[in-house]
Amino acid sequence: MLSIRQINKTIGDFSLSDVSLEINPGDYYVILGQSGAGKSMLLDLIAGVKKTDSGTILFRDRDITTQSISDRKFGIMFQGDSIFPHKTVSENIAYSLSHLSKSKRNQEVQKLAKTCGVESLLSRYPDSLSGGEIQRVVLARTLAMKPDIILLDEPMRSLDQHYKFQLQSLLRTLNREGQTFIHVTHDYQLALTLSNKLGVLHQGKLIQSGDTRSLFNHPANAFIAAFTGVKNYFEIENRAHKAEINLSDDIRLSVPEDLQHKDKLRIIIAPEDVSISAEEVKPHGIVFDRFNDQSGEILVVQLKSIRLYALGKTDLNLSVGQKVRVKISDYRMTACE
Amino acid sequence: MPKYTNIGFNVLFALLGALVLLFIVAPLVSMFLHTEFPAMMETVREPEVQSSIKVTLLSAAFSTLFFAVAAIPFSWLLARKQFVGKTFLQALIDLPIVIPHTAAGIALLGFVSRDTVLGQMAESVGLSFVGSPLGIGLAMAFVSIPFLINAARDAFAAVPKRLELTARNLGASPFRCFFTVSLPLAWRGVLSGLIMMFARGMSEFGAVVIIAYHPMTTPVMIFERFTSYGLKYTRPVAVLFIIVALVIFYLLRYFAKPKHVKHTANQ
Repeated sequence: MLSIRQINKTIGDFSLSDVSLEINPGDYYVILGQSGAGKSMLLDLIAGVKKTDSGTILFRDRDITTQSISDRKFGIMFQGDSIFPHKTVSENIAYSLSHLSKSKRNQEVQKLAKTCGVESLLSRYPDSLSGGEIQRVVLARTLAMKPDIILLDEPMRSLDQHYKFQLQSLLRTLNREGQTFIHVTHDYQLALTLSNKLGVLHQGKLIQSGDTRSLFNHPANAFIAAFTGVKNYFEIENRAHKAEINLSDDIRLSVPEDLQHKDKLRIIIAPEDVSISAEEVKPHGIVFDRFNDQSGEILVVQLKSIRLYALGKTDLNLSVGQKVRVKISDYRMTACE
Repeated sequence: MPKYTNIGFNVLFALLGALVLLFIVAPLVSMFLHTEFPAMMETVREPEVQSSIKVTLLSAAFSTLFFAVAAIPFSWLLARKQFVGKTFLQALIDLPIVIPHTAAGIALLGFVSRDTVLGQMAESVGLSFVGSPLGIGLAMAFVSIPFLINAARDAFAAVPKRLELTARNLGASPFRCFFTVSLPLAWRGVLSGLIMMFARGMSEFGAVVIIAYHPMTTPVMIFERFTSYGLKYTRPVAVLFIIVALVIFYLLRYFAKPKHVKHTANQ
């Protein structure tokens, strides 16, 4: 559907280099990256806000690289508030429907407002709306132009959790109904919740892309692992090429036969697969930190050369600085390419 | 109990402000107090005075509206586009403010007098710039147009660019985008510029007196009465003109207030 081939763009001392993407109909493609990674610039190039220095953008096999923003049928929701403040909600939604008769336009506005849950706000001005309501109005207005692809630039950045969930649910519904999305964000949890495809952008380069689940399971390097929320990610030299490898001191993991000849191995351990007990039996470590996240209490255990994140058990009343025993029940091992 | 250590600072600044206000208000109040009511009423009834006020207001209004048609889109261009020589152009726009207005009048006279191409072209269709309301309007516009351009440029620059991009993304042509998004959002600043241009135009003396002594605008009449008859005879015209200007500006500001009533989230 949309094929972005090796596009480049330099503004000042920042460059977007050789970015290539393939978007298929019905995809929810999330471009994940830190602030300043070039996400918004990439979205601007796709939307036609900025022109590429080189590379090609094909839509349905037609070259649209030089087409202007108004000629591409991509709806864009810019970062920040892009509602027209001098128009009512109804006038905002109807902005792209000026070619329709008044009655048809009203019908369409009602339909879109209902889809986005803003039908009770139609006569209101934006200054009386909450951030979540504004984003749903903007989405309804974008849908009114019947876009082939909707481009979202951090639409949830300043929203409260409640409004975030509302908007996420709406986006998923629209995606299930066949709407294609390209969404840029810095929030990996959002990416995991919404996308079926994911690309990680770092310093202007797309460093990994592919199916969301597989990217989260197989991050290509430590940066992507850290950025996508993988807590226990290790790259270990395998010079001995034996059936076992040392993770740290007494913690030895078995290496599958097909990986034994590889020089470097990647190991990912889920926090729930690290069990901790209050015994001073080797292999042991020291509780370095403890905090709560959505899955429960996380214990950070310092071993000699690594730190391990473990999902704590509620009956263990461990304190920071305490010696604990560490056992790893499961892990994923792959070769570093 | 918190200590308000900035009281002395605030009092000092308030006193300085009061001095400035006194400087502005005192001469005007003095002029009002020295003007006798019967003399004022007599001046109001004078056809010459009435005619000069009419010429002044109409010339200022028409020149403002006429030049706004070109100046407002030009201001958008200055706010939005980057091009070589933009800084020079901005300085050029401000030039009429800094040069002596009599010099501006002479420059303009050399451009539109009967022996110039423009003057002859106007004459061929029965128009004349010199000694006519047309010339008065030109002189007023020449010295006052920077106020409109600068105010409108700042107002357009304050409109978030993403709103214009959104309009274009929603399929609007550049014209529709300008008239439905840029101009309405910049309107208060643009209107303020229009009011300032009109105000500056109607108070203009130096350029107007060079290009058109007659028909007489009120500032020219004030000068003429002062040089011919003295201060006492001039005051009623000046006071009347100030009252008219005050009423007009109050009304313009009143109608320039935003129209839509804000709906609160609780409604």
